[in-house]
Amino acid sequence: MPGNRIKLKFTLNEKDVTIECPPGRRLIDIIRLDFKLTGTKEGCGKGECGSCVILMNGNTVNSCIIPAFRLADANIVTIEGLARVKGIPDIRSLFAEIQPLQCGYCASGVQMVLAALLLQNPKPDEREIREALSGNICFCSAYSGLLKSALHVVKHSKKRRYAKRISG
Amino acid sequence: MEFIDDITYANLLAGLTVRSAIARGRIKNITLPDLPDGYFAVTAQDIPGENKLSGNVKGMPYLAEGDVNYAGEPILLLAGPEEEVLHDIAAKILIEYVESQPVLDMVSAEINGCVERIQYSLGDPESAFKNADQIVEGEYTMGSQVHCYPEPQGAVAFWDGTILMVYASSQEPFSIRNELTRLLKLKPGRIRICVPGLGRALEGKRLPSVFIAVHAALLSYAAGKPVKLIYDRYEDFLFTPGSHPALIRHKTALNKDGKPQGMNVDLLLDSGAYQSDSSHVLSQAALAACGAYSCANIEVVAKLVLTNKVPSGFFQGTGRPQAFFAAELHSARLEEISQLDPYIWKKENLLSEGHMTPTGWRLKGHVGAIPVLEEVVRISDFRRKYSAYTAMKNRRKSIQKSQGPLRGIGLSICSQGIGYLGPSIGGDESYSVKVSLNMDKKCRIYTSLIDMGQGLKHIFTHLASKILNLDASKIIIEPMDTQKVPDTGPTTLSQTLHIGAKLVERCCLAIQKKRIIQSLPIEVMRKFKRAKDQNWDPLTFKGNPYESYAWAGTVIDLEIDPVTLKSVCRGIWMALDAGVLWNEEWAKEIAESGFIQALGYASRQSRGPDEDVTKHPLLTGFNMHELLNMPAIKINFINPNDIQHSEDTKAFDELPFMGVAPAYTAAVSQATGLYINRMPLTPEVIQECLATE
Repeated sequence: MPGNRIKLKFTLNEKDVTIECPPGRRLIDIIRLDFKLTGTKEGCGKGECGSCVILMNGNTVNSCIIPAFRLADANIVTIEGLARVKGIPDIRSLFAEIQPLQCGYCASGVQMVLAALLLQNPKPDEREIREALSGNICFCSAYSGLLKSALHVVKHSKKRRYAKRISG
Repeated sequence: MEFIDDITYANLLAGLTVRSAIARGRIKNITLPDLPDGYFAVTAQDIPGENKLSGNVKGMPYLAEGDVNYAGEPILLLAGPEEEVLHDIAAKILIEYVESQPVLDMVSAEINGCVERIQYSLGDPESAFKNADQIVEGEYTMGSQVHCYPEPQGAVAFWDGTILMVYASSQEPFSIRNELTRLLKLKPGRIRICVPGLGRALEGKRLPSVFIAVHAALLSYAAGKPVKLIYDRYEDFLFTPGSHPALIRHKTALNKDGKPQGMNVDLLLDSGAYQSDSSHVLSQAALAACGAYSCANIEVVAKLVLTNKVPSGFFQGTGRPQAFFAAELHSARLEEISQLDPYIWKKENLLSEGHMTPTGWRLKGHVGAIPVLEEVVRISDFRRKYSAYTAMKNRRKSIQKSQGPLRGIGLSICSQGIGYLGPSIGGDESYSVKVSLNMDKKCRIYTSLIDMGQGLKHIFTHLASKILNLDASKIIIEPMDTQKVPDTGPTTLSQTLHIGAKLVERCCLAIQKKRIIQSLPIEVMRKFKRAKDQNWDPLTFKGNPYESYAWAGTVIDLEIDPVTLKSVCRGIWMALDAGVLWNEEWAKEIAESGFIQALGYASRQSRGPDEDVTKHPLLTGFNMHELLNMPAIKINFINPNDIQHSEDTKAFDELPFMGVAPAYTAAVSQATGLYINRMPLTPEVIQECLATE
């Protein structure tokens, strides 16, 4: 292996992938530059704003502060792969239905956090939604629209489960 | 949605800005190391045209040549395949300077002389002060604050030998095109500017976005390859323009009843190293110097100085937040001296119909100052709480011995002038919109205005859909491309409502008429016409400077931990008079998001040579709210009737930035019993005020 590079195998949006890179390369750069998945955005580069959140082994992480060497055998889901995650509704489409007055820059991170919340707690109340999203900064401060969208997702999520129960 | 950093090309080069390490001096020599293959450097000598920003900016070069006037001023640019290698090259560049003593504070700069001055008066202020029973003085300061927009500044440019393609994160794409036409001596048709997703720009993506787009273009022009130049958050915080720091001195002459008989306002703004857009900021601040109050005898002197700091620029409110902050805090002092409830004092002194404004215009018709005061006081229960918290403060022996949190409530009234009738700052006589109705029965709207979360898409779609009787899905707003859309001016909420919406409406009404007699396709373009009001003289500052006004009353109820001095807002109320609304729900969302940003503005760290932000500009230090700690906000619009014409709407997006900071500071003053005269108001500032007390 030339210089300080390592070979890593992991799963990215349900696909097995391999990459060779310096061990400290940031996960956000691997996602955006190496795999050309630009749905994940960089807001601060210091793990503070939540714009770059993705799912790593089912947990939310700020991809701007995850070094490459942690990726070995990891299961990574980005916003592009969210629709394929089982057990949660199509969050991106549900957000689009509400059309909040937002620029959309923080939306990817918010939707990933919401997905992780629903995977652990299918029926969160408003307080739990606020707590889960407390690590996501909306630079536009359009929080009321953001909350409205999140509540719409949860409401829809509950309806689908109820419909499934009815249909047996 | 796609943003600047998502744009990519094959063979894309990264860009880097090399900046001055000193605040003031002369560049004696630049020694570049040998550049590896595929790496390029651009200096001022490589710019074909005149190396200066045009328009309202005075003397500001794109790349420093000879003199440097602030630490961080761009001197040269680098481009190459690997960003790490660029940083290595930059570390090896040797720039020799002859340093001079910088001027870093406004007071010293004022002694050296100001670069611009506005002075106007009303009545006979000299006699008013001569005959005063009491004169109350106050001094109020505001630091420079940064915008903290979602995506840092950036641009991608590609000169392929024929066409210069620039992707810019910019509110002013046509300004970029005009600058590049001049700098690179290219015809406008060979330059194409596109704006992908912009993000809520907060007035921060005007001049700085032109600057970085030009830099990216210069690099691509030299390299013949695509170049992406993006500032990281740290670089963006430190080196892009923030709001104008201000020092405002108020002097008020009172009669024996404590009523103001004369007002004297001395307002000083720090333009930083260059005058970029500062003339307009100064004029707006001068117009708002007396706040929303009536007085028969007024003198206002507003001055602009240069210092060796990062140039100041547009910020939400354009100079008015600074003016209203000082005016409202000073009125809080007058209220205290008169021993009147702030509501009573304000009601007696606010502008209303028949009063003369500071620029000598007699107000006719509806004036929203007192209606918003009445409404916000009612919905917040201000008067009862104000008395209760005053009693709590008077019973308290000291902050340190306080048994529970300190409680305070603050009230402010402010206005936003709409449709400034002074000199155009951007050539608005050419602003236009084009609309077409095509064979596919779809309506297409062509404008340089961009939806950055201010509701442009909702408003334009609503207008076109209603007038042309089309489903919203048939209305398309064409992507921003300078080769395809006309210039409608810079993207702001005010521009969207005041100019864009009106032009879209006029186009759609014209199409509606033509449709009767003409077959499809039909295309119409309409140009903006400035109101020709003979009543405003920008040279003497006499008359009525705006087409209309929106008003806001703000109340903030907070508590402060006596140990940490950290504040928590228990309740926030705002009453807005913004004319008729497109949609009350959207309007509340926009007002609320502005409110939360303004709250951060009131309590964020400011940028200064000795303050922490220059060393650790972390978002946590900027007190940005998130969903968990978002305060409860109640917003009431007065008379939000259904809209009939776009003429009836008013912009109101700047009102939170004018109303929140003084209400917040007044609440902290009441809670702590301290005289506070500056912002941003962090716990550290409160601690300093306690120590001084």
